[in-house]
Amino acid sequence: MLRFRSGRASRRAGWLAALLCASSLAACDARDGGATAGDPEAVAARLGLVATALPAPLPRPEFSLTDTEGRRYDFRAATAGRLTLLFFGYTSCPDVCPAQLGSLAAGLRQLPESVRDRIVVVFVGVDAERDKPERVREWLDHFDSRFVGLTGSEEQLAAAERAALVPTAFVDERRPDGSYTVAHASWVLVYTPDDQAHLRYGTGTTPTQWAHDLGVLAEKGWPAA
Amino acid sequence: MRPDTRWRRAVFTALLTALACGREPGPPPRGAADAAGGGVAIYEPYIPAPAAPDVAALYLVVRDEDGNGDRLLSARSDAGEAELHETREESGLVRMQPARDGLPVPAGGELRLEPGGAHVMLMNLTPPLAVGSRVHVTLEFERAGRLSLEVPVVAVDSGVGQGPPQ
Repeated sequence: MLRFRSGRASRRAGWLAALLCASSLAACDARDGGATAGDPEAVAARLGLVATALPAPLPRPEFSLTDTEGRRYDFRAATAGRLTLLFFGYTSCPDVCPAQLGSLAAGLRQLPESVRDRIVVVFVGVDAERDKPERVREWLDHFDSRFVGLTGSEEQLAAAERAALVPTAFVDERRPDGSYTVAHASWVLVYTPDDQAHLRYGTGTTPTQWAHDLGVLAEKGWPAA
Repeated sequence: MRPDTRWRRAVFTALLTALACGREPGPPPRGAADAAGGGVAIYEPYIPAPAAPDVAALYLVVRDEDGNGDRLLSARSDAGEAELHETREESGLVRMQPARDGLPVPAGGELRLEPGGAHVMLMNLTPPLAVGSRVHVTLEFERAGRLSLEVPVVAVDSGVGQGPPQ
């Protein structure tokens, strides 16, 4: 059963500290040389992306979970060098998760098949109790049967979240009948072929925005600084 | 910046603001209401065909018709349990929690239940909702009392930024 994971606050604090640290480094950069070619915000603006630029890139994380066929899925090895979207959510989520995945799926359908083929979408079901492989597969098929679904034990999921530097999910509201909602990372991280995430997407990204940004990133990747 | 430039810019900003205010027409006109009474009207209700067998979200717009404002207190449904929920983002997390005090309908304005915001969460669905079916829903308002309506279950391409499907 998914519980309040111990050390959740400290982990989140660590995550925030990492981001703050990254932002202050980026700020120093900006002071030294103004908006340099490597400044992620400037690059995103130049490419006309709607994504939010991360203050500093996050490396493609190393973690292992179970895919919907029951096989071990080593995220870094399986997706290395490919344009990859990483989601954290849960299948009993009625609002944000289906809206986000539905929007992304609709955006991908706007892209030519040759471009679509180069994009990997990985969904991590963070609700260890209910997100079983079969349920995740059925749920993802509702959006796009090519979406990769991953699950794991509470410990494995927490390790994956730590590796990706996103906040750890936890049970938010438990009702008297035992049902519950889960608080989970809101960002979708995008790893480019340089094996880093420079961008994140919030919950309100529209299909047209997805199609635009992913089309650009599939064509150009992330320009070297 | 030279003082006259600053002054010109201030006038320009004031003009823009005035224009923007002058254009504020209130909520745009809509098609026929799905239910109305007691000073509120319900528009564009829909349930995206859920990907999960047991949970779904219901979206709609409540428009205040008499300028007094109101408050949506609760929802009931024949499809399962219904609860008012709000989704919000904080510190990189998405959280969804019951709207225990209900959801305000602003005077002369609209309460919008839409993806990524407030919604009616439907739980313990029996049987699962099929595209094309309709769900009977009763909304309870502080002033307007109860309003009942039939809400269609629709296939949606996307829940984000597109409003209800046509």
